[in-house]
Amino acid sequence: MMTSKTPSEPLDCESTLVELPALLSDELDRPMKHRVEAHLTTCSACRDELEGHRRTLGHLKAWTVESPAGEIHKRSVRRRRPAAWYRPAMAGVAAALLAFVVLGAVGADAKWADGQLTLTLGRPTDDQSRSEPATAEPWAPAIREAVDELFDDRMAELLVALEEDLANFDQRHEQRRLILAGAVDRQRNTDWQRVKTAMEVLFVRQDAMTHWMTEFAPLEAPGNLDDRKEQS
Amino acid sequence: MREMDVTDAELVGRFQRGDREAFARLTARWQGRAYALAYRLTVDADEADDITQSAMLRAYQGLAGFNGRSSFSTWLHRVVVNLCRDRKRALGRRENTLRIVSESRQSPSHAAPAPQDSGERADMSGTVARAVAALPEDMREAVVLKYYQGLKLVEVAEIVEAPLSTVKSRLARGLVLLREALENP
Repeated sequence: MMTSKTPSEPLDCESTLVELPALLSDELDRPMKHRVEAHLTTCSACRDELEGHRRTLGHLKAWTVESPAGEIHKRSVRRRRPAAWYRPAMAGVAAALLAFVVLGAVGADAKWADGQLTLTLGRPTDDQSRSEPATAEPWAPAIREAVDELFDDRMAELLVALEEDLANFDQRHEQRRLILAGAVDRQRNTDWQRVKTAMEVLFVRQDAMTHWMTEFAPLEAPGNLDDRKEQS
Repeated sequence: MREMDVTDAELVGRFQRGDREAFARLTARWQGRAYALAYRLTVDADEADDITQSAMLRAYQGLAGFNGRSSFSTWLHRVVVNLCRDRKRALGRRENTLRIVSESRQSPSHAAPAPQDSGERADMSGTVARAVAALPEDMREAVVLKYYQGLKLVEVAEIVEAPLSTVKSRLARGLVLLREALENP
């Protein structure tokens, strides 16, 4: 670094290496550029380093990030929905809508009477048709038409988006769960190894202590010395 | 007047005089680059989304008092970098590392190489992402700002609030670490 403060002196390798990124992006002033280039003409190690940097910059181009211009708000709004209540509610609405359409398509009939829901599947028989002419429920075709209108491409698109969103959410949730589970497992293994090592050390010390007490403690214990004195 | 004919400074001035549309144009112009910066610093699409939105919100709230000492670009980049630093501190080093490694391996669809790219190129993209993610934070910031955001060295120095010589050193060291990771994995 010292050499870079005195423009007339040649650069050393350390100063040259620091300036290489600026040389590569053509951000050196003319005097410094001449000094760096002068050093490079005489130093093969620094020339190699410069070539290495060029290769690295080439590699960096491989990492592309698609700029989601205009998509951030959309994606974030979808992701930020309060999952606890919104998703089940939307799923319920979608399921009810689908059930309504499917039941209508197969000719199911639901009636609420005397506190009980009665569901009849299948197209009405001829007898039923005769006893309950279509004109008996003049609002039914209108409702069915309205449902058909609702269930247009936009609704189908909404359901597809909902399904995709739920799938993405589940996938992401599962990925995070696996990552966290892996982390917990690794931590558990680490903790277990530490406990095991500590226990082994403890056992070794315990064995040593037992050995010491067996071999030496009786001789050194004051009581035993007194006993020996008495015996003598 | 064409979109590119209007400078950021002009749009900022219009916004400060009450033109809300000017901010919409600034957002359209910069949110993609803000997202790319946030994504490359966090390697997490959700984090990048949040950070980009937070940065735009801060821009909206802060532009009224923006004095123009630095360019809007530099100012916004600094906001994003600071948000990334804050987020990283909040997440904690351990969890962050796990997520970086995992998600860069999973290569999220929006960040993945284009479908027409070869498998080899896709592998290289993931390898580069992991190598950049593995850099120390200060080097990663310098590398991303310089080589992915295309900023000048003085702008990088201003954004990371470090001397120019420090930024040069970080870049030089960062390129060496990247080369070691990419050519001798």
